[in-house]
This record gives sequence, structure tokens and C-alpha cells, in this order.
Amino acid sequence: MNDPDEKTEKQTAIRAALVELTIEGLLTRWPQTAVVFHQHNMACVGCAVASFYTITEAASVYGLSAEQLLDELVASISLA
Amino acid sequence: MQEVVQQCALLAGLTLAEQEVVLENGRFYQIPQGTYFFHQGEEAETLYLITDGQVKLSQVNESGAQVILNYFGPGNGLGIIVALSTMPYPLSAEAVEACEAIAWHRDTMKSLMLRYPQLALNGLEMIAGRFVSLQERFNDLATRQVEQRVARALLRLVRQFGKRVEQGVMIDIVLSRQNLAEMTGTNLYQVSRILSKWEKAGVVALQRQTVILCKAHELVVIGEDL
Repeated sequence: MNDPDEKTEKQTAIRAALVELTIEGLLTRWPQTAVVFHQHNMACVGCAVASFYTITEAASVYGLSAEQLLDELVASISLA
Repeated sequence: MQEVVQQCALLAGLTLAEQEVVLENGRFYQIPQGTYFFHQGEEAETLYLITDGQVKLSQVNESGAQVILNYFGPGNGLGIIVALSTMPYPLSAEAVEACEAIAWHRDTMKSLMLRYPQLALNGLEMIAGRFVSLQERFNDLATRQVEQRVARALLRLVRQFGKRVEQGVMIDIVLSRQNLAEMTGTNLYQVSRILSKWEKAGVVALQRQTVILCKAHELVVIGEDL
């Protein structure tokens, strides 16, 4: 049941979905990801332009690595 | 238009059949650009649901100074308060572009609300939302600097009317510097000074009739005191 490969596959799928999403899309679908933004002191939750920008763009605005941010978001989603 | 109607806050939670009854009791209403749905102080008997176009809500004081309270677009209600009170229209609603709407007489809407309590609750919720947003605006005027107020006005507008373009996010309404001044309790000179400063810093790009937010995050930093 808890085949580690299967989990990785699921995570890869989530990650691929995240790249396409806007911040608002992400927070609507997976509200638990809000905590990741708070941990980085990002003002994305409730931001006026959250529906216009992607996670990658938000990472770049805050000078963060998009790869790392995506990893953390995937992890917070997979916890559920 | 159907999509706008089905997703609007006024009709939320009603079944399709109930929505149909409400719509059938209204009438289709069209007005050209530059004309008014109603004027401040007029006796109020009609309320509207905007289905197309943009509307500017403003008030004028005795000395002729104009204040812009809001801009509304498809899905927003106009004069919802008419159904719940007998006061005259508290402000003027101008069609900034040609508009389409559904209009109800006060008495019709009242009987519909009694028939479908959800409709009345929706109306209250819409008014509650406006009330909260006016409290925020009051707070802005009382406590924020002009530059912050302009940033916050742009962020409010982008939330309502933002459209992603190559350079950033465009506010997709006709918005002059004078309009921005009238929304933020300041004057044309101040707004021009602030916008020019932001333009030089690459935060905004100024178009003839509107503004593009190129670095929206910078405006959030200014507006929210981050």
C-alpha cells in the first residue's frame, strides 16, 4: 500500500500541477499550503494579485528558489 | 450574461428554478456610456444587477467636490439598499461604458425576498460587504499617507478589474489620474507626482486611460507597510 515509489509518483504529479497554478488557484485547492507562505514571510495569502501570478513568479519576487518553494508546497500537500 | 447571473452574489444559493423566477420578474435594462443609472438624492425605487459594462459610483458635496466610492462591473448589484430602506439614492451611478443590467422595482424585489428568504440574506450579505469595505476605506483616510492610499486603491481595483498582460497586471477600466485622486481623498497634483515616481522605478506603466502594475508586489509593500 505505502509503496515509496507510488508516493513519489503522486508527488511528481502534484508538482507538475503546481507549476501551472496561480497562487490563488493553489490556495483555493490546497488551503493548507498557506503555512508555507507564512513561514517565508510571504504576503501571498489574501494578496490582491494572487490570482494573476504563479508560484514561480512569487518565488522570484521574494528572491527565493522556486524549486525549493515547490518542494515545500508539495510536502505540505502530501502531508494531508 | 447567463454565467454572470448564475454566479452573482445576489442569486447565490437559489435553485435554478428560483433564479429563473427572480429574473423573470426583473426587466432587461440597457444604458449608453456616459449616462446615469440614477443620481444622488433622487427618489430610489429601482435596483439593478449589472450584467455587462462598468459603473462608477460617486458622490458630490455642496461645493461640487466629487468623491468616487467604487467601480462596479458584471455581477455587482447597484442600489441593493433600495430593497431594504426607503432613503433616496445616496450616490450617483454612471455607466463608464455602455451597460446592460437587470432591473427590479423595489416592491417586486421585496416580495421576491419574502418569497425566497435566501435572496434577502444575499442582499444583506452584499450590503455587509460594502459596509466592511467602507470601514477599511475610512481607516485608510484617517490613518494612511497619500502614497499608501493610492497604492491601496490600485490594489483594490486590480482585484476587481485586473487582467494579466505581458508587462504585469492591467486595471481594465477607464481610469484617469483625476479619478484616482477622487478615490483617495487627494488631488490631481499628488496623484501625478506619485504615479510618475512609481513609473520611474518601474513599478507601474502609465497608459493613456489606465495603469499597468508591473511590480505589483512593490505596491503591496507600499500599501501594506510591509
